[in-house]
Amino acid sequence: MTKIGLEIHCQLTKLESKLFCSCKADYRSFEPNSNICPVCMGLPGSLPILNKKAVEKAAMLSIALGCKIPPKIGFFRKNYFYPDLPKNFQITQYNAYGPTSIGYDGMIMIEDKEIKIRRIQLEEDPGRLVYSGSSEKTQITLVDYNRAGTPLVEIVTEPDFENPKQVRIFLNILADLVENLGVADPYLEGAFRVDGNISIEKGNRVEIKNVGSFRDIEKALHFEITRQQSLAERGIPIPAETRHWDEARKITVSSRSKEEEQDYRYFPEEDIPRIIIEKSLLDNLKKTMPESIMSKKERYINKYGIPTQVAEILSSDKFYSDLFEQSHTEKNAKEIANLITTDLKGFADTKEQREQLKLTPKHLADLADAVLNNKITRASGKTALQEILKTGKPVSEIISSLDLGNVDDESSLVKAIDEVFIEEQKAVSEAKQNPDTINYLVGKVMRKTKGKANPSLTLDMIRKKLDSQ
Amino acid sequence: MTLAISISQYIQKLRDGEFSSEEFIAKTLERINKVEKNLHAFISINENAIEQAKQIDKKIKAKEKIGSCFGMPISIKDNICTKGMKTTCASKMLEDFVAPYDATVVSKLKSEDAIIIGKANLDEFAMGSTTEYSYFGPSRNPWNTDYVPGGSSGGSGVSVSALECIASLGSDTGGSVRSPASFCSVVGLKPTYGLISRYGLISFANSIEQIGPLARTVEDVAFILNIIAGRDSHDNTTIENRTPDYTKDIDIGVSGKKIGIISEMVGEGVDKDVQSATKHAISTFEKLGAECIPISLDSAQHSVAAYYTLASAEASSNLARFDNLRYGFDFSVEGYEYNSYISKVRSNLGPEVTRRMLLGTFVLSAGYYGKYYQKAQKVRSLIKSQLVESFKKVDLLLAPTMPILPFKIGEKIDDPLKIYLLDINTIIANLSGIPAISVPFAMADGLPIGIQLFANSLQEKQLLQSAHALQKTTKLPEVPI
Amino acid sequence: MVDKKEIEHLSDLIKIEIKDPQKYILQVEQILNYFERLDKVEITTEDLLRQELTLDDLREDKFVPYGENLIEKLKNTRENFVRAPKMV
Repeated sequence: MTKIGLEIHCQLTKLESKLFCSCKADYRSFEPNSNICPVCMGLPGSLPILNKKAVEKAAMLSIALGCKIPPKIGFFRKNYFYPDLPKNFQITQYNAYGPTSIGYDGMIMIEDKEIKIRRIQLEEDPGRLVYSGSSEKTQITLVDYNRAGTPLVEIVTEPDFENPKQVRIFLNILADLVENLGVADPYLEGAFRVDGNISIEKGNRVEIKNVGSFRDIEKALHFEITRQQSLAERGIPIPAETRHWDEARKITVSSRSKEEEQDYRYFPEEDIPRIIIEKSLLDNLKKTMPESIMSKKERYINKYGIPTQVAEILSSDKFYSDLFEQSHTEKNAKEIANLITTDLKGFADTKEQREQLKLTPKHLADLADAVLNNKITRASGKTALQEILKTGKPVSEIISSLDLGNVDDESSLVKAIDEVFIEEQKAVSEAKQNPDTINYLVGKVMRKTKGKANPSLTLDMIRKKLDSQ
Repeated sequence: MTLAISISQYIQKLRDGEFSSEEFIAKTLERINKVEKNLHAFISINENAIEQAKQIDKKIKAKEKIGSCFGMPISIKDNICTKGMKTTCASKMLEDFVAPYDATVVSKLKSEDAIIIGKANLDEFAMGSTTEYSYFGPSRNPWNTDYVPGGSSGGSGVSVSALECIASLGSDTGGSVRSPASFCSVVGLKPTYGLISRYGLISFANSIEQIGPLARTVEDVAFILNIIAGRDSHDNTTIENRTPDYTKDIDIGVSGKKIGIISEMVGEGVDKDVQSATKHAISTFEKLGAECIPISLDSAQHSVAAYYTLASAEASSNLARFDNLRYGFDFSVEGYEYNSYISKVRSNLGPEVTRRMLLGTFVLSAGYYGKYYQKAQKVRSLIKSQLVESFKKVDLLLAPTMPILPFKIGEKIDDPLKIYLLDINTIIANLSGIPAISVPFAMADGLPIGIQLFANSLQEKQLLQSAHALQKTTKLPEVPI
Repeated sequence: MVDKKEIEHLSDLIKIEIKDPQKYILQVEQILNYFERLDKVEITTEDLLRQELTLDDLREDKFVPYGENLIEKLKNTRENFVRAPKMV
């Protein structure tokens, strides 16, 4: 049986400052080495000063992933030399001598399958290597330490996945979850990084590293299964090793580094005392942390009668559910859910699109109310929404300027109905026999009025006219 | 004008107009110039000291608010960062390093208008007990320049003893303040772990070490402690200082106090002269009204092994950052592959540091962690619990600071284990975090002997009061240099 | 117990080139032998040493720029990058 486990590095991008100093957590917009201080540069004499909120955010995530949280957490040093590591050790957490990481023994369900979370640990990101120079020979290594010390959590799962599809579903759920919790924006470049390990029946465990985007992990895992199976079929043993994902060629390549032989010499980081995690803190976090996706979904279904599928889309996307939460009333909730998941979708899929939207929660509320009060039709609602996205003008202004208001006036409807009765004589006689086909005529009238005819009024008038003939 | 004065005398004389800060600093520099070639207490001297003294004199004249140090010269061990002055750790690896910030203790002293007169010599990265392992050469004992001054804060001990400053800050990882205090006949305090910020102290064994003051009197040590103690937002391991004034009631005496004599530290392996000095100290305390009883601390026999295991382990990690990429000496990366470059530059670490790097790496490496590091932590806990028990019975503990008299430079340098074992009486304070002080008490063959007192955590006030009582009974010769 | 290979392994881990491993073999072995005594101590005491903090003792999450251009005071070769040796 194929067994897959994951190690996910997720930066806590919603924090202001780094894990152990006051430099900016979001290093992305800085010139090289301009978001650094003695602490994150590991200068002699500097000491790490732990960020309180980082502990809280990591604890929130641990709660959300069903983890146990130890009464005291501690930090360890992972010792290895690398130029992006200013101290040549990384401050991280380690559970080999008893659970002291922020979370352990958690679980989440994906499609009736339990995925166990082995541990969640808080740690610092290293800096970044930049290579300059064209050829292998002239190439030089440059280091930018702006990222060094950025707070991140490493989430380690048990090898509970049976196939890459489960991995994809899990990662989508996890990405939605961290975003919904307000601990990270998983779509920021480099914020959400996934390593995997995989073994097939009777095979050794192979680690896959360097998977740039978390979408690629599925491809990398597929490639590995095929590669390992073909080795097994030919009776060649699968060596335990670390392989790197080659993004350009879409294959995994064995790393010749001595990574397997690394001896990290973990031992306690005594510059940071143990942190007592009081039960009252956890209770408070549970009370104040954002509602889980699951709970939102259930509320949408049970309270507002929103269809399951719509509720699922709405709850799992923080952008959508925030819009919904800020705009809905008990009465218009269903209509707003519809507007968001059918009409808005397609115009607000990417981050860029979302940033450019001129849509406010008030727009959505006004629009839904207009539809519910029969001021405009649903079809006109869609037209109006597109205009709002572009211009941001108030709903009432858009309805009048685009002339989207419902045709409620009987005389203009009489004219349209008369024309349809002349043009569609066959359908008229059919409708007399079979009232079920009457909607065809309503549709024709709608088309004639460019969708503005008040549908219920039109239906009434057609019925009357049929009866009178 | 004499340089052989205490802090309170300095302040009094300066206020009385007997001398200005500038005059005192000038005289101090003159003294340094005269004795340094024989002593080598300093790695660098503050070239702006006179200018800084002038500024302070100006402030005094203008009756501006003036800090409590009034421009007195203080030396700083060269593993404590000073902005704008080199901080070398007596190592080739940092021979050009200028920290961009002051250690918290240094900024506290500066804000009280102390003048940092120079950076004091030490064993490379504070690893050693004799100051012979300095990359810049050994310091010499002012009482006999053929002899070691103790260490690793040897330069601090020498500079205070030889009147090259009024007081000094050292760091004490396994006795590194108390050993030179004892060998150079000055007072040296290792405070409770967490009482003083380590921000700016270049880490050697970060769970064990503390910055500590050295001065010629216990009162002076209390004065400096007042300035440097307290919680610091730059050091998560600092604790609240609940005894604001250590100099107040320092005269209170020891009448009615119970003092435990640590049996394991006064018998076998202790030099005869040291033994008799210790006996004399005990009878002195009894005459002053204290009650002295023997206390056994059998865990102490494992302290050296536990200490060198833990300290080397932490050091091997703390010193990993010295890879010469972001700071360090001039040595181009051109033409080198990463591993060979790092190994090459780090081969400039001296033999004692290298030894400890090897030991520390060994005790942390896969398969040995449980046998060495974890066991050492447990021994540490055992020592702490035995001390906690002892302090239920007595107020203070007493032992000689060093088991032997100062010895000749070079005499033990080829036997590292023998040097490690010299720390047998001092290490328990570091492993357990309790405060300890060394008080100059006697001389034998012209060489100093110090007596050490220990108190329970955060009992510095009581410790200083008793040490002061003991020091008041002594009449020791003037330094012969 | 400690041989040339062990010294070389350790010096590789800690990245210190040791030209004369022989010099260190005896000393390191002698000291490690001394450390052996730790293994024989029977200990049941609780861990008394750990310092502890509560969440309220920790730093608030606030961005405070360092204020000085630190990289100018460090080794940097071009465009404020730190130069590292070739990675193989």
